[in-house]
Amino acid sequence: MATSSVIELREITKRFPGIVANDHISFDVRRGEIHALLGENGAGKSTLMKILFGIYQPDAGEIRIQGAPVVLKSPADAIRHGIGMVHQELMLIPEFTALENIILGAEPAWGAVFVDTSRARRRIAELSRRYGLTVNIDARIKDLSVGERQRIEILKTLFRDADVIIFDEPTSSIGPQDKARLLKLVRALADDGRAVVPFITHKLPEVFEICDRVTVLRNGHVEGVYARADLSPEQLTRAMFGAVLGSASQPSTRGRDAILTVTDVTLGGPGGKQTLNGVSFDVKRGEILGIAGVSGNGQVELGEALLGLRRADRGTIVFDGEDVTACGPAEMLARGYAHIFEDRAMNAVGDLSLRDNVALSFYSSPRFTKAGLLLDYAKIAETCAGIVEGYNVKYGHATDEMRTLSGGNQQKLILGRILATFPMLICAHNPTKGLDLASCHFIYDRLSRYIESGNSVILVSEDLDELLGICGRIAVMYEGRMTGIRDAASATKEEIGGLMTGDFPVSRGRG
Amino acid sequence: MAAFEAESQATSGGAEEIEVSRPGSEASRYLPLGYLALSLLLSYGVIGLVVWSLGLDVTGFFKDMFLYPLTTQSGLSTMLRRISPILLSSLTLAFAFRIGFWNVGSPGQLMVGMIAGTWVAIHLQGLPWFLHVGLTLTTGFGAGALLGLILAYAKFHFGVNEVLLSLLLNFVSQYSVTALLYGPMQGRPLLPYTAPILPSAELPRFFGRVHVGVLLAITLVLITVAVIRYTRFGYMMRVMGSSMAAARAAGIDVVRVGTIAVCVSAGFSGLAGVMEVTGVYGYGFDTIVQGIGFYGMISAFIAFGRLGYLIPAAVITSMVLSTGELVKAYSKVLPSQTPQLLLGLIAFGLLLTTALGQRASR
Repeated sequence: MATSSVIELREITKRFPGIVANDHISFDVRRGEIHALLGENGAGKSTLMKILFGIYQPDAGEIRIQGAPVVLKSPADAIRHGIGMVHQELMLIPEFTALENIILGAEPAWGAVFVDTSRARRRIAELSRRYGLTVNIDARIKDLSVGERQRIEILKTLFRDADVIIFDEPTSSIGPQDKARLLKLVRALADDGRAVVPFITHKLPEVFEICDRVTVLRNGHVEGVYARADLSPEQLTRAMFGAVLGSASQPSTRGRDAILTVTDVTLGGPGGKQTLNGVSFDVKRGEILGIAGVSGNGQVELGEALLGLRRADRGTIVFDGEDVTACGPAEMLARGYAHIFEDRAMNAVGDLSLRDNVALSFYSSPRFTKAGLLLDYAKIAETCAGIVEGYNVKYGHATDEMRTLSGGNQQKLILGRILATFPMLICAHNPTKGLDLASCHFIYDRLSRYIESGNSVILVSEDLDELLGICGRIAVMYEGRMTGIRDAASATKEEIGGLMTGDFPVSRGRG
Repeated sequence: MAAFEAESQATSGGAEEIEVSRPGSEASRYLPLGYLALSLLLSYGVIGLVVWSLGLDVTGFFKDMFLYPLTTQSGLSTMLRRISPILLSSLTLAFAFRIGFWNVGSPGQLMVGMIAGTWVAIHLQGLPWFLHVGLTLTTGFGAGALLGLILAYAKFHFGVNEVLLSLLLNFVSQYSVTALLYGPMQGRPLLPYTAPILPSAELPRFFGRVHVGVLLAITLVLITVAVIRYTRFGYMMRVMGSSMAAARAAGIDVVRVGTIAVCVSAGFSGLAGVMEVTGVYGYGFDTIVQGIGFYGMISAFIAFGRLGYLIPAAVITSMVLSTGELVKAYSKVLPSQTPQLLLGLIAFGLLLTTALGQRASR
């Protein structure tokens, strides 16, 4: 296959202290193919990707591009060899315009000093036209949606003539409309002779839709390489985990009275924009309420208002029968509310140990205080051990820093420490974003079981499959308002998707 | 500096995909000592080279350099006296830095503490010594803490950059105190000296001229280490220092904890200031704490910002600075600022070795 392979990885091995992240991995990508790489977090996917992009160097094995062996010492080397990467956490400069971000580092020169923006514009316009990547290149990144930002990242790689475009979890942060466009785009890129490598941990249906081949990684080595024709979801799941996972069951939607009532909450954003514009909804005891919506429509602000990090300009929040509109985080936490932020940096501190992170939930509790001043670290260590055990968290030592854990394990630990305080209401914002399938199911399972004792969960997510899978009711947020609330049992993806983009569907209950 | 290293080694964006990417904390804990040893070697090496090129006796010079502060009466007592303010000044920086707050106002806080405490030392008559000493020290601490309160309020309520504010307050404090020393606090004609303090306010001495302030300083460092490590307050500080956002989200009252921490850190310098008067000179004057704030910062830097390393770092700094008499003997060829030069070289060497070390470990 050497002749048609654009990139070939042979026997790539990479070790870190205590773990072999990549174990003799061989992988090749042909011109014009879409070759997906599947694997749980911890399977070695991200290490392999970083090796391909020059961030790490392999301990053994070689990389061949167009048949010739190369050494990639840095991302600059990788880019020069025609490898482009579209990151999951988009690496764009918010204050710069799209144009400036696209040409960053590859500015066409005018003379020795000036930048030839007109040449850049022409080229970008040509690329946009060719692949249908419509975007306002003079807009500032911070004003653009996640979907638009992703398109700009893609344009960046195309601007540098990438022959191989690697996508890191491309569909995990965009809505259904953007997803469809992306899949079409990927197909167009491949048809044009480039190769596309999406790195995915779940979202298997999308894999089937577009990929030509799939390589599955498990525990650092290649479990198998499959052609699309030979694929079935069960086969893939089995290859990834060795077993077929059942999907989480739907809880009954029979609620009782409301644990949380939000009425007309309004919060101004920067520059006078209303980020929350009269949000009203309620959460019944014992239910999982989903909040669907493309990111950037007020979900983060709603979370901050509920926790008390920001105060609403107008409106009321009633929790467990009491008005908590003016309460701050410490009070809300004490009252039995808990919040899992989308931004993991808000839920965990990477530099601190696992134990110190667990202590985030318990430091203010009298049970964990000795002599009024001292923190009972022994008890915290015990609690940590219990959580790690009960939530199947893979780690090195309890004194290791939090960031040495993989994403899935970090999230499980966070969920564990929060549930260990038995809050009456948990609001979880994209808790499964970027996580492997096993961790996702684990979290769904825990959340579903948690409501059995009368507690409630708000699940804010962009993943409709997820929402329809475990929620009783689904509310939809758009531009700072709730555009509708539907029963999960009877709602369709089209309906919800429509509400998410501001269309109001006329019919209901269509398949 | 552990925090500096952590900042600069921040791994790439997607936190979800972090594999085990660094050795366990055991190995990297002792790495700073290696860097320090290396930079000490380099710095003394450079000085040795200079000495050698000037045709002087290198081994004799080094023997004197190390033996002088440790074996001679004057060298030893100078060193021990110096440790106290340097240690407290470095504690100011290191303690505030635990919550990510840059308190570089130690010089100013030293001055304010000095003048306030000296007033109490001069004017409160008829008190038994332990009461007088206690009040004097507390006033010095309190005055410094007041300056810290200004910093904390400005930072937490207005978002004012504390580096700029504390740095500039140094000048405000210095000139205000000097004005007082030429004004109401002037104890001698024409000179910015206060009147001598009352005997009941003097700090007890031992080993000749060494005052108990040294023991107090060491005790305070140990107490802060214990506070950070074992108490709830210390935990909250640590969380704030690593992630202010996560601290707020976890319900920590960052304004309260931050204000207390900053005030206490500033108080340490105020205490150091007044102890120079009551333990060393017996009266206050404008250049009493000349350079101490600066040496304190360097000492904190040598300690990598770690509270646990502050005492050895202060010893090293003190040792380097206490070769004054020795240098005078070589004063025909060596400048009298050679100790300061050496200190600067050590600090620079630390930056160099740490940066190269981080590069190599990638």
